[in-house]
Amino acid sequence: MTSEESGKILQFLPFSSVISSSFWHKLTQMKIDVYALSDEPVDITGYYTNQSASSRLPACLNVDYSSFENHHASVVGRNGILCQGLLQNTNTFEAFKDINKQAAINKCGEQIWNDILSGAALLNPSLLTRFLLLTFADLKKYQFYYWFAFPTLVFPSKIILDEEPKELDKVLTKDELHQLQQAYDQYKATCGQSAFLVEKNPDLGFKCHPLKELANLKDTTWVGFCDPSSLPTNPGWPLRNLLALIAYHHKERLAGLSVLCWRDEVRDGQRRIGSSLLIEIKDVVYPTENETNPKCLGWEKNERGKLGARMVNLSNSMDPERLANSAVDLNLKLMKWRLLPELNLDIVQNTKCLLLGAGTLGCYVARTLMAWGVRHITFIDNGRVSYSNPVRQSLYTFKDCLNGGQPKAESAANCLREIFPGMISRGIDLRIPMPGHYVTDAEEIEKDVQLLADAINEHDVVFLLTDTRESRWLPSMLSAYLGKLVINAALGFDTYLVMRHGQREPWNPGQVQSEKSKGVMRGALVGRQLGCYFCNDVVAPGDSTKDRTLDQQCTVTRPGISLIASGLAVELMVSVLQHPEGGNASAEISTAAMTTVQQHQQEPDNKEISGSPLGVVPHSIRGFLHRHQQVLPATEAFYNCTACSPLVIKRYAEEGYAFLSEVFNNPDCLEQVSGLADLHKDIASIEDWDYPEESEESND
Amino acid sequence: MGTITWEEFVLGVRHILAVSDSIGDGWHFRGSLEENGGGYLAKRMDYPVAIGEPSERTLSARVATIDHDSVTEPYEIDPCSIDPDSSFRPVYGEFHVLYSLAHAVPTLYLRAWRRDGSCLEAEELWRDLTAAERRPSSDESERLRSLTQQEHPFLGEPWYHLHPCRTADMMDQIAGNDVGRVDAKRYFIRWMSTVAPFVGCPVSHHYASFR
Repeated sequence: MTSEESGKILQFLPFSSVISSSFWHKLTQMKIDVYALSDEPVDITGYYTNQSASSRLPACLNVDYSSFENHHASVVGRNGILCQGLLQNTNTFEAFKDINKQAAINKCGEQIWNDILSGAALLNPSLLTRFLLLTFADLKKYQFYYWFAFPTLVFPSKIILDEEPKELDKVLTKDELHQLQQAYDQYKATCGQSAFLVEKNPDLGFKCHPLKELANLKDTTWVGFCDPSSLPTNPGWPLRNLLALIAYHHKERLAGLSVLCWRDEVRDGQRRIGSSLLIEIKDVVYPTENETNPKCLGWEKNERGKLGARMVNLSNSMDPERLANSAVDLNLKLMKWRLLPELNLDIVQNTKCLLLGAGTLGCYVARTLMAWGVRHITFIDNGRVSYSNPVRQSLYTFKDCLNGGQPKAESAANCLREIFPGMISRGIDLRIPMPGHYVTDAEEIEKDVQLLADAINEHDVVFLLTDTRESRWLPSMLSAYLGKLVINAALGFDTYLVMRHGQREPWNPGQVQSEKSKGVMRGALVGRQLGCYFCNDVVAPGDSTKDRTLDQQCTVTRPGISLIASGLAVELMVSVLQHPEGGNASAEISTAAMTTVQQHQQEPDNKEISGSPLGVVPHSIRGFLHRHQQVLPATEAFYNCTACSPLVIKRYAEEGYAFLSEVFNNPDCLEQVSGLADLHKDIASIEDWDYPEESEESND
Repeated sequence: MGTITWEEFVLGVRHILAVSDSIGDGWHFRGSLEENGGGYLAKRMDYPVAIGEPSERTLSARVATIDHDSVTEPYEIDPCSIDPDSSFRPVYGEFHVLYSLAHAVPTLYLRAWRRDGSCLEAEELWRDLTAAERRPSSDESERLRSLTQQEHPFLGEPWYHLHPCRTADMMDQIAGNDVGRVDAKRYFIRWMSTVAPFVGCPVSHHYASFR
């Protein structure tokens, strides 16, 4: 500060840019449909108001979707002030960086200065408030780089005040304020420009005039402008260029000029103009350089207060894959929020599911899993899509059948991703080795077994959805060994079985041998006591496909059955996951066949049974479509089961593939190892016993 | 009952618009009042939110990816400008009142943006819009449960929404001992003054005066 500059320097509050998301959407659309590769500057509009809701809010210059056409009154609102802008959208980030920012703002400054010189700005003061907007839209990542400039002429270079600006309600009386308000409203109705003059006549009171009348009015006339700032001591940016205009046309009026920063606020439903500021200019300092055009500045600072660009990442709201993701997520959350707050959706979403079989059951199960938000699904199937498949198997279409048919596992996995891009889905082309199906290439089969074991290990839930009994043996045994949850679905012509295998801890050598079956007939069994698919069988699985006629080889079912069973399979899995005990959830034994409804009605307070927010978690669901009936039997694990018996698992743990090789080539082996063979002998020996003719003491 | 027809909704809307115009409250109508379900009331509200809130973490996550030093200009200090207040950041909210044909009640949609156009998530939106109210903290999940995301019937974008399923019951309870059919304007104001402040949109007492 030099000696001639005693007093306060007037400091202005710059505009802060505010961009509506609709602006970005529209810019994207314009770039794609209209601009293409052109980076020519384009005229746009923005708006600001002098109706700030709080002094803590910045002085906003807004752009939105209507910036690309003329703003409609309904968007701007009654107190919005339109201003012209220039948009330059570059095609690359380098071009965005390389634009000469100083040159760009100088060019705009020149335009404003020319409008001042020609007098056009006197007639239309809105020419003084222009803006520049540089953008670069990265439409792959939905990231937008942008930089606003609010060009202002540094002319005069400084405005000196004697004292701080005063609020109007400290300068005028209530009556006077009211008069002024009326005068302004009249002016607004007729002319309405954002810069105006306020004449105070001792007799007639206040009157407002258009700016161009400045020459005709007395020295005591105030210059007014609609002020976007709401700070108590600083006016907004439009005043700077306005003062440049006055400095050029009426230089002599500046010192001693009173400026009205017109703020038309609403507080608590009341209109309030009293917080408008009155500035008394004491003195003015002009730039010493002799340039034809005054210096121009006004690039907006970024979030860090530096003169730099800004960036906004809108992939959350614009990237279609993200949108699909959040829409699916939302759908499930609505269910949770509105109906079942205790629902744990995360656990379902994070459950990795392995589907053995990509046929009718596999396809419907996969779709239902997706509907529950499961994201990780792997198919194992060695078939190809055949012409009869697409109508029943919902992930295939006609074109998958052509050229010999696409591999099912892979096609199914691809289809899932087409339905929902966020799926992590994979198909494994693998034929599950089976007991009693003689192995020709031992090395290949050993690799297949390892592949299957690895797949089971990587997933949390295994769905057995194949079309034979014996193909379920190996995965059942491996899952028991690895401690995974198994959901099994099997179909008859008009019947279905959906069940969960009893889930125990993964096998370890020190594991306590589970006790023989207790023969529990009443009450409930906890999860680990429940049996598997093979527990109720007294013969080992063998080759069921040998010597069968065609109609026996493929399972022909009523089409609705697969949908019903698949739906139940997924719902059973989710019920288990929601239960606090998980796979160890209890299932009630019913000695008499009871339907779900009866069961639930009989035990309304039995929290142990219906411990899942979704209701009871049965062991198995057997359905009979022919009489539309369902029963929920629960059975104990069979100590001598060919698949889950600790004896069998122990043998596998100790001998690995060597044991399996024996099993594949000789199904009798399983009966030996599991102890079934001995059981048969015991039963046979009972039959040999001689019973006394009159049985008063009967054996149990 | 607790429900209103479209015509009654229009009556309520006209009242709101009349009062809003006189006090400069900013409500305006988009669409056609003549057509059944043809438009909605809209209002924009700006909120200053104190910086230093937990949501600031997300700001630094967003700006971190831009290489600031590559797009900056040499800095010349301008003695005649001041920097905007950096202790507050602005949040721009927009409130829409739609008529739900299915439920025959008014419903409220809202959304809030930051100044760069990015959208606020549910929790942030809730916190920022109601910060000024200094409401005693009620159950967070209860409040969030009432605010769900829904596709805006006119704009097709996801907006937050107070679901109308409970509105009819709520309005019934509020009506209480009122005999006969409630006046449409009264209904509308009752609904709005119950529901809107809940999400940070105050309703001035001026709306309660029926001329």
